[in-house]
Amino acid sequence: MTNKLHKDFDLDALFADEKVSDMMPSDTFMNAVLRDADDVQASFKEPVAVAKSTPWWRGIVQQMGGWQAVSTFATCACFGVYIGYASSVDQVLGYSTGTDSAAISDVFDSFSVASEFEVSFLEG
Amino acid sequence: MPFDSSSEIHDDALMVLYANGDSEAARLLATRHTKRVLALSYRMLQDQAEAEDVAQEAMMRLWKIAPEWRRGEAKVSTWLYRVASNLCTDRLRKKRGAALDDIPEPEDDAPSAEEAMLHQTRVATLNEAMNALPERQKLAVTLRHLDELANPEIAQIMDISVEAVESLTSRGKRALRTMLQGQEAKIGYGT
Repeated sequence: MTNKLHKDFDLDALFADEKVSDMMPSDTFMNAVLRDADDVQASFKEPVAVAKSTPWWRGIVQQMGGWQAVSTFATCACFGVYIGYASSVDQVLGYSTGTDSAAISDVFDSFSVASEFEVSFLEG
Repeated sequence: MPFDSSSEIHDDALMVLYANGDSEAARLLATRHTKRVLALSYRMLQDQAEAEDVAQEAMMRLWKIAPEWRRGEAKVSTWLYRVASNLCTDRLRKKRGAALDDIPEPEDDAPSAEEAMLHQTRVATLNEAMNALPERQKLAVTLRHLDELANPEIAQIMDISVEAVESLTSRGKRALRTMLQGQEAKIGYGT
């Protein structure tokens, strides 16, 4: 019986009454909403503080630790290229130790060269 | 921007226009959505000042998110309903415990018309019963039966499944019927 009563109750008619009584936004309220929109939009337009532009290479130099670090890096790079491409291993060892390295085989691979170079450097 | 053509502009496009500095876009978005957001807020809170606060805050959040708005991800209306319903729920939870009697009756602005009186009585009776529902049921019933949204959209707004929406609205309506039993005569449905 109760269930039947529940089903019979015309909720939809009540909902329809409620819909008719929708609250309408006042002009004052709409103006406040639009004022907010203008304020927020103005903040989008504010110029972003941009750092003074610097050449791209200066940024890289700074990232690497300054011109001294870059100089050291460049020297090492040049020396590495020199070792890699030198036509003669003797020439390299001769340059670094100041000794005659004719006895050293010229079939050293690059690791051997590096190892010899390190030993001679440590021994002075 | 002429109004005739602007009515066909999609909300997503208006959001982009607004973010790019077009003030007309803000006016169109506000015209399209403010009324519904305000109506939902008022139904939930039954207080004009609070409803306006919530609607204004929801619109403010829409303006702020415009530059990051992702096209096609959510409908502007769904997003606004979600924000507004969350704001309303927060306020209702803070007010929880207030007696139903504290909720103001709607103002009677047509005292001489009997039909208007009856209408006001019906609205007041329904509001009173709606206010007695748990917040989630109230929101689901409001979105489904007063804002006439589809269940999938309500599910998005409430961040629940469609089945959960159906369950909430069904339980809400059942509870409303129970509360309104015996008041048929008062609201003009009696024999």
